[in-house]
Amino acid sequence: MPETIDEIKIEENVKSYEGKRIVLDIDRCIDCRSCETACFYSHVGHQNLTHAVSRQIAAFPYNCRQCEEPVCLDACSRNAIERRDDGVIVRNKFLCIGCLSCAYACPFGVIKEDLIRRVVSKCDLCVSELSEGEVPNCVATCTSGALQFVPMDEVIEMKKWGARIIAKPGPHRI
Amino acid sequence: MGIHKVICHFCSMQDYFGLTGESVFYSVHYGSQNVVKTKHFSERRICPRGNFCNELAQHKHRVGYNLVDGEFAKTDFALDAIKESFSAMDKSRSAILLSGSLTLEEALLAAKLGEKWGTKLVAQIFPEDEISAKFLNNFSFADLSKMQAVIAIGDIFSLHPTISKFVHDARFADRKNFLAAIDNCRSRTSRFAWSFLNAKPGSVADVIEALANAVSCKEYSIENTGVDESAFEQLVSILKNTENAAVLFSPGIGRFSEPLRVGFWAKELAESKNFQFASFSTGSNARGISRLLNSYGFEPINKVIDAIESGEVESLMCLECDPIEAFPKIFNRIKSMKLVVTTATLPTAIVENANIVISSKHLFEKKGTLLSPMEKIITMDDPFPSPDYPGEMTLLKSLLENEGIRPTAEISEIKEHLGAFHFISEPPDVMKNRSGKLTAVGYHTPHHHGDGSYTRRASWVIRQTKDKDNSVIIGLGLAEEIGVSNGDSLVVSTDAGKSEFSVIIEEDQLDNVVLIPAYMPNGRDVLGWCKSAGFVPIAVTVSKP
Repeated sequence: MPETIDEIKIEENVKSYEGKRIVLDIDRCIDCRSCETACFYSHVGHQNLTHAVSRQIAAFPYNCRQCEEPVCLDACSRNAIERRDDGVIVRNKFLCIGCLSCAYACPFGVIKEDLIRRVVSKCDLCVSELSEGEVPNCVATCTSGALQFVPMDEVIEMKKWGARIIAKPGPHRI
Repeated sequence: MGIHKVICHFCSMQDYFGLTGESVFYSVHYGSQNVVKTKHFSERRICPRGNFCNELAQHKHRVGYNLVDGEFAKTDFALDAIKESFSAMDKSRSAILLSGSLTLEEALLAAKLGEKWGTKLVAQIFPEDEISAKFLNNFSFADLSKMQAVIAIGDIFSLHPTISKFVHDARFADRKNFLAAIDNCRSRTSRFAWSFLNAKPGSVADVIEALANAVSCKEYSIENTGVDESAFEQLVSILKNTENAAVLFSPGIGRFSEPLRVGFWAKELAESKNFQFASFSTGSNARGISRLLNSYGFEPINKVIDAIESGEVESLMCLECDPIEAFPKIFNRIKSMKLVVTTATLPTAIVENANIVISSKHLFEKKGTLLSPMEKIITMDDPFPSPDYPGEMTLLKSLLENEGIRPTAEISEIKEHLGAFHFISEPPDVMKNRSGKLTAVGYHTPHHHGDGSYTRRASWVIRQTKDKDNSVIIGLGLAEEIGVSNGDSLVVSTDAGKSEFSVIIEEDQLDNVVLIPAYMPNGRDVLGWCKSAGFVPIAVTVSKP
């Protein structure tokens, strides 16, 4: 049980972000790469988010999906990757030896293979921001509103991403 | 150190965000270090350039020192040296160039100094912002996301990324809402547009003039503009039935051959239907500075550069700007000048070639006022702490006192000068079209604008984009015709100059344009110079090296 006001606040914040994921509205992303720069500077040069551009038509920032069954965690030989109680999958910087097993195992290619100071970089959802009631920095800085931090079940239920594309008249980018 | 509510010195939207210095635990070094962190509470988010403010505040190459003839100097000594050097000059043959990221107070003091010296050559350095300053905006960011239609002229998403959320919100607010784009090439903005009028380079002004006339039920013609007639008529029909819309205009560099005329007819289009209108500048305060200097009767930037090029100018003072990277052709002239004084925060080319350098502050480290895109004067009163760099204010005050003028900059005086500005009211003359079979058109990216002299020094850019920054963009058909693929080298020649770039191929780009990086010095080298509006598109030939 939380005993101090700070502990209560932290517990409330944890409840507010549990089950939330970063999702992309593809029809908004303008490929400005603000999310990348925010990630770069907020992780002191360890950029955990990159993106791809498909035939100059659409851009896809891709970051860690915080999988239900993370293969990166299974692949890590040093137990450097762990799932926290709040569901966020993080990499322990002190244990990581930069063997790249997690990067090779990740089916979405979101763990970068280029090592920075012999350490692998992985999205941690900016947990320090989350515990203060904020959103991940890539979401906070997204200029077009393409990256959103929302409960996964809500997104699935609303089906709004697909519905929006069908509803708009005229040609679409995808 | 608390959170300081600051305005990005790159932000043409003048959005605010928090900067705070924090001690961050950094595992690899097993220790801690102080870093500047961004706190996100801005309405319009932060584009890549805004994110660079973290780094710029404590950049490892920051000019935190004064230099006199290459030697480190204390501020008093450097200021005395400047006063002494100018006293030996014919000050009426001096020029003062200002960045678009100064405060209105600094611009006012620079204007007073120029007036006292008897020179007409005082200008802010972004030619594109002199264009946008000539139009009075009537829009609000809050209303923008409720618009039925947004008409984007130029690549607003690249130059002003923080506006994209409002535009998208407007697009998605209702099923009938839409975005229309008018440009001479495919851009980051046009790819989202429901209606895209892709005009031939040199004919965008004609298209917008025709659109303004058509919406007002007057006679019009879109002959020889390259615009599809049915798409044009469809857009006219929709605009006629639209009650609330916004026309957004961003001149950019080397984008339009007649940017003044483009802006004029865009404004006419907006006024004909009581739409909202906004012309955006790239500098964070360039509109205000341009108008303020204009009210003193100073020459526009193109006349100042012409004067430097012809050798009329014997001494130059640069306030937080780099004319060598912005206008590479005047490099030799600047080198041969008797005196070059500059204020600087980073070691740009002008710092290496100046006689005296005064260390300066970034906009987010200053107090002062700015003119917002919504035509309001906003005050910055919570600067991010910085060491005691003298900057422009100290330099200008020192020089004005030396001239026997009280260096005051009252807000009432600033308002008076801004109020004296005459907005463009008559359609500018039609100019000779300088495009050809193949035309060089300037482009920017969200992480670069202006001359790119600061953004290219950000470590994210250095690590992530590398040499991709110095690339021309061409269509697939043209690439096949020349026989080049992505990453190959290409020599671009125009009447203005010749330079080598690497190639980026975009499938949806038309084959009659070559997109030139207008934020690179060699990109600006090959774009044409226009007598009234800075760089313009120009006929071009391309070949393999």
